[in-house]
Amino acid sequence: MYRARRVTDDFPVAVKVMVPKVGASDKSRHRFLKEIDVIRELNHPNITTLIESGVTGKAFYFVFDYCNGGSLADLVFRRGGKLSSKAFYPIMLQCLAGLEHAHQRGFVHRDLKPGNILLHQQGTGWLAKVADFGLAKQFEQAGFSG
Amino acid sequence: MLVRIYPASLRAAAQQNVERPDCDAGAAKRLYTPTTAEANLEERPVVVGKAAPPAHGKAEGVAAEKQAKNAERVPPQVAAGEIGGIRNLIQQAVGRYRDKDGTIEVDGYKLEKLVGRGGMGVCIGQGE
Repeated sequence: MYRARRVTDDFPVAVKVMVPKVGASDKSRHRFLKEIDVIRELNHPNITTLIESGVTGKAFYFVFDYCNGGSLADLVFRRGGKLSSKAFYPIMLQCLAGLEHAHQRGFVHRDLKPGNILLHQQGTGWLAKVADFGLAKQFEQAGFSG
Repeated sequence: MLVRIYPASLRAAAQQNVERPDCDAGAAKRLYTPTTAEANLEERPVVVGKAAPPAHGKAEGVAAEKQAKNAERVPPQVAAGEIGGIRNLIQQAVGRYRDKDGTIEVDGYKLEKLVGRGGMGVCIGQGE
């Protein structure tokens, strides 16, 4: 995962680069790319937005919106291993809103963990975004590593 | 603050998937198999808060506005297959977690297991 800036307008983004494992079949790659197209349809403020994806050399790359606050796992670590419920529940409720949006469209995340909840500083609070929606399992099934 | 998460929309989500060839219908089916209890649950209106009473004074007006806001809030509805992940997320982030008789408590907040098999709803709330 890289922090990057879009050349055209200096917009901050996160770029994820995935390298296919040896033996990943064309069929699994095709299915993977199809899934990516569907995931791109998930458009919600509490889900990281897949801005763009493509192929460079042998690697696939995915461009997401950049969250400046790191992950929920980072925040938990910074707070000594746990959050107060007062700090956590606004984040959780935002995650639930994002999950609801995706679930209504038939997607389950299947890999929810603090590392997959990204935070963006917004005033005095956090804007929480569920990341890697559906990607984790798809990557695994398609034989990718990143 | 009270948020109910019911499996009410899951059947619709599953059907939507079956009808959409570009989606994984199998995953949608795995996601939700309604039980009788869930079917009953789906019939229940999901409302947070009550309609605001007519306001007379300033204080009442503020209270009424708050209540009206609550009444308008639509609780999140999440897939049954994700409930375990949500629980884990809470456990890992907050660090306090208790599961007794189907009720999970996290630092004063209760997650009620509404339905057992197949799909589950949880209620994250405090007070009410």
